[in-house]
Amino acid sequence: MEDNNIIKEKVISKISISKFKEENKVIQKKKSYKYMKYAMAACICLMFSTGIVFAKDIESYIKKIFNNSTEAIDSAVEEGYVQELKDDFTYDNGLGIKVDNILLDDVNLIFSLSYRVEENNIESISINHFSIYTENEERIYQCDGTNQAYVGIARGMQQATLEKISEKNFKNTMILNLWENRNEFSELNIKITNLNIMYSDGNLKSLDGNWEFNIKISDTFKQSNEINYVFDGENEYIKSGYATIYPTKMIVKLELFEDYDINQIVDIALEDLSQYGMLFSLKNNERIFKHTNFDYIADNKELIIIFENIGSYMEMEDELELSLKTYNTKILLKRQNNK
Amino acid sequence: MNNLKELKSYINEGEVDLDKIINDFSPYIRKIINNMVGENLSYEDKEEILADTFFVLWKNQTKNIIYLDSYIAGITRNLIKEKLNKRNITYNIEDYENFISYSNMDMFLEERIEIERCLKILKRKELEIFNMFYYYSKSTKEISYELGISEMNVCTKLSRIRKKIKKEFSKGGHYGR
Repeated sequence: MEDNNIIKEKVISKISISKFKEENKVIQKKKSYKYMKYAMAACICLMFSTGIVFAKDIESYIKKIFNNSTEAIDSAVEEGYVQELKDDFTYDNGLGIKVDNILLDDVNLIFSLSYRVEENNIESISINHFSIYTENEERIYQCDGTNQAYVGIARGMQQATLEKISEKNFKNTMILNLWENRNEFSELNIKITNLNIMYSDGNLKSLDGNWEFNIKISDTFKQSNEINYVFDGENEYIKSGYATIYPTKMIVKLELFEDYDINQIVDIALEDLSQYGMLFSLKNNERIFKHTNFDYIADNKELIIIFENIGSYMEMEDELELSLKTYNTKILLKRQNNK
Repeated sequence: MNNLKELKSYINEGEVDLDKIINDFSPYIRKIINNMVGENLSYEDKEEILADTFFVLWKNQTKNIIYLDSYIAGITRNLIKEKLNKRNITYNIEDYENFISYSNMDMFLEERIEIERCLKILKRKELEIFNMFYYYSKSTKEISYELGISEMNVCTKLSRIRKKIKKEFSKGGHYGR
């Protein structure tokens, strides 16, 4: 028969579930104000002693890490694909900034920032001058006061809408779109040197300062979860194609037959970008709508369609159908390897 | 074996010392199981009875149990009877008549069935984190440090595990699915 250690593990598992059941019963049953007060006190004690966020609110807590995030990003965060930093605020000129969380995959570098101000009546804060470099001094992205952006490892950047947490606390998320097949990096140097501050009376102020952050990237991101699909079957317009689903984005690349003009696709697509391509999952002969595309790039004979809301930590079926409006055609993508 | 061996001698800081009690009593319980069922039950069923014996004992740890080996034997025999019934295997009631006094013993059958359902759907890594939190009472910080993952990761995993377990508990039913 099995080793006693294995029996012990089984018993411990049973006891753990039983203990959780009792704890859950206590929390669910007692709804009177008197017990709620006790339960809250017990939970607060638990929070301080274990550092755990009250489990009931964990989902809303996770989704608040990156404001204006996508379902793909939220799914990745829920699976633990995120790095939490516990650094203090860096202060200069009456304003503190800290980097709270980072998420990195092959296509996106996302980080959330917290701001703490001393003044009142601030409505919004936006970053003007900043630069991000790797440990090898390779530029990821840079932006200066003339609105000039310098691409590097990142080809573009978005700042999410600023979230006002309280009178003196704000939060923001920066998303840098990365080129695939870039060099690996393991450290970030983020330097912010100028901010725009807008007050509730409409006044605008430019604030100089030096807020610098050196961040070591977590090993969590070395185990990036990717799902690959390949174009299956034949299509009169599409010669070949494949799709890669990264934790934060899905990219479809299609090579057209030479007879077809990529510019035609671009022109048509410009008319109605949001409906250019629709993605469906195929399950038991059912088509389950996934999403419309968000962006595309046309380059020579290659058409790249990007789905910002699809990520590899979401549930994805083995077969996907991509419906292309331009040619009124559908293509089948079949999964290549396991998650 | 009907010696005066009290349960409280196995209680350490208010909890049953599982290591000690499993090491001391496993051979005894295995002997009972093998004598009672022979080849009528599978290896897995026998191990389940063994693990459940200690679990039921843990559930009754607040009772003042003086003749621990008899008490444990009673639990084991009740579990064997339960398992034989479930497998539709007939057994000789005389083998159990000396232990009728244990027929009123609370065996926590419903709860054990619910727990079995939960154990079937939880992955090994999930159980590891769950046990560290609920059995070993470690903080999320300690767990994150030991497993080399972020504290947030621990929180999210615990949340997901709790959801899974709650879903199984809400299914109800006497013998589960």
